Amino acid sequence: MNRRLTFSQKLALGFALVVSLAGLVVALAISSIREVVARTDAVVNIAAQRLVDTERLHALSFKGAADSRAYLMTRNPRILEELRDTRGEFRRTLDLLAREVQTDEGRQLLAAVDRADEAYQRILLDVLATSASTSVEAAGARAERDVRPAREVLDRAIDAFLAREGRLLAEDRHASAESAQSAIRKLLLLALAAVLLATGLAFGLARSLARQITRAIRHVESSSSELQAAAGEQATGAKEQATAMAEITTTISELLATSRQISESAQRVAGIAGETAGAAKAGDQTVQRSQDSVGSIRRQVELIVGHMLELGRKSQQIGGVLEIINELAEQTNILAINATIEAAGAGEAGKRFAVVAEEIRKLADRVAGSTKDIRVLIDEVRSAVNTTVMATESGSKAVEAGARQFTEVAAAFTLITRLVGTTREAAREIELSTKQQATAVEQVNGAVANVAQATREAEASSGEALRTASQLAQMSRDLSSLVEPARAG
Amino acid sequence: MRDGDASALSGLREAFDQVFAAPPAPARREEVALLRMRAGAEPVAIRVLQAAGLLQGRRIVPVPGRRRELLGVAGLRGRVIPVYSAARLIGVPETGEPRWLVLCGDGGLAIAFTAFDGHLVLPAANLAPARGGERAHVAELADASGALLPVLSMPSLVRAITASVVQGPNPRSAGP
Repeated sequence: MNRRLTFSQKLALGFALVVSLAGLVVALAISSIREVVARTDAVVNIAAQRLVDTERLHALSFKGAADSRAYLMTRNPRILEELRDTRGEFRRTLDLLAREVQTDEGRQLLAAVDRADEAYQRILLDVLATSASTSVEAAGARAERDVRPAREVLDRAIDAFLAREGRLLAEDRHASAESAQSAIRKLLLLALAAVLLATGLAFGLARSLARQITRAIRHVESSSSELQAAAGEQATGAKEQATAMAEITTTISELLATSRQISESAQRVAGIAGETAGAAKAGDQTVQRSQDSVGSIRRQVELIVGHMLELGRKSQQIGGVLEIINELAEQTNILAINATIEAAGAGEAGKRFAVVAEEIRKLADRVAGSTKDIRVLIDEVRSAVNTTVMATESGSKAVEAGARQFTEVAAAFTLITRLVGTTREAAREIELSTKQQATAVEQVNGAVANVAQATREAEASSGEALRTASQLAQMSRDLSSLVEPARAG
Repeated sequence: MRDGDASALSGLREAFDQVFAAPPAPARREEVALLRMRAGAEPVAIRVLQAAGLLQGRRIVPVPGRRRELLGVAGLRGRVIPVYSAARLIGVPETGEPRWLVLCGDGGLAIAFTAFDGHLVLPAANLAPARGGERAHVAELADASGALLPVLSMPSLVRAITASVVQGPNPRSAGP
């Protein structure tokens, strides 16, 4: 629970306890004083009054006796009246005492006084009543003889009551003194208890507060160390940040220059895009013309292909004719051989024919050789025609592909024109945006300068925080030395 | 027409005209005319003057016979002549249908060859007698551009055919 209380709460609680204790002591003192005063008052006012009344009763008794003796000697009625008044006063005082007495003993003593007084009065009145008829000496002697014993009984009874009242007064006085002593002892005990409690409270409060303060000091020491380290790191970070801000400032300046260059480049791009759009339009027209030319080329190529195929067919026909020629040459060769054989069989007459036959055979051989050459040539021609046809067909396909590509190129040029328009718009937007960006970068530059200034201030503040942390650490050590000198030492 | 072809044609015409413009030359005994034939896949030659004629593409009609060399008969100028296989006669396997016929003797029979490779004229010195060990009916060996070409003896073949006809059937080819 103590841990939940604050320093001031503990102090307030301690002081409240001490004040409560002091209040209790004061209340007890007041109560004791009141009791002592009450007892003193009782002694002074009641017992002493009663004693005084008793003494008064005694005095009235004596006064009555004196008045009775005076009446007996003087027979003055006025004295008799006084005697009656004294008698009345005596009864009133006795009644007063009877009302005030509260103990049985007192009431018995007062009853004895009352009976003694009744007996005395009866005897006295009898003596007084008979005194008129007797002489003074006789009345005196009778009074001395009858009244005195009664009066002595009364006096003894009054003395007994008086002695009791004196004893009671002494007892009350003693009780009052005892009460005062008891109050003093109680007050002393209470004061001692209060002192002990206050001392214990002070000791406990001091220990608790010392522990709490020590813990707080340790926390403060730890926190100040951490704060010191953090301040050091913050100072380092602030320096690095300041360096970084300087670099950022340089970079932003370069960025600003770059933005301006971009703006200029965007302007140039917009100009070039315009020129490109014109060139693309001219290219589109050129492509259209080229497309027409390609169509013409394609028609020419198709014509060439037709001619080449016709040439191939003619070559095949030549081959067929050549086959016939070759066959004829072969047959001629065979005929010539047979003629040679026949000429040989004819003997001398066939010699000249044999020469002719030999020449015919040679011609046939040559024709056969020539047909072979021609066949080779025709094969070459056909191969060339085939190659040409294939090349032409490839060319035709290439031309068709070229035509398609020209169409695609034309579409591409149209797209280029459109895209160039878009590019020009984009370049203008880039220029505008870049100008805005440059403005923004300038603002950022200013902001960065402000941040750099703030960083420098933060650096200074970090140094200040570092110093403050050091001072805090020193203060915590000082405070610790105040709380725990041994520890601080 | 190319220039080369024109000059060749003019040379050919000139040589042809020159033959008939010059006086008849004496018979050149030192040259031998050969026909390059193929028996089966075997290249062979025959002397032109030992043949009675060369025919191509005659239809050979098979006829039953006891001789395996006899391919059949063919019609020639109103006559029917027997046709014998040159490959079988010299003992080599047949490769394809023999379509070239060489008439022998007086033209009463023909020997069929697989192919006719051309006419060949060689100096007589290029022909040497067979050394023995060659195939049947090889009488000479002709040196044609470094290659030795066996020259079949047509009379030997005819004798083998006629002898077998006279003596009866012979499943194997006759010797020369």
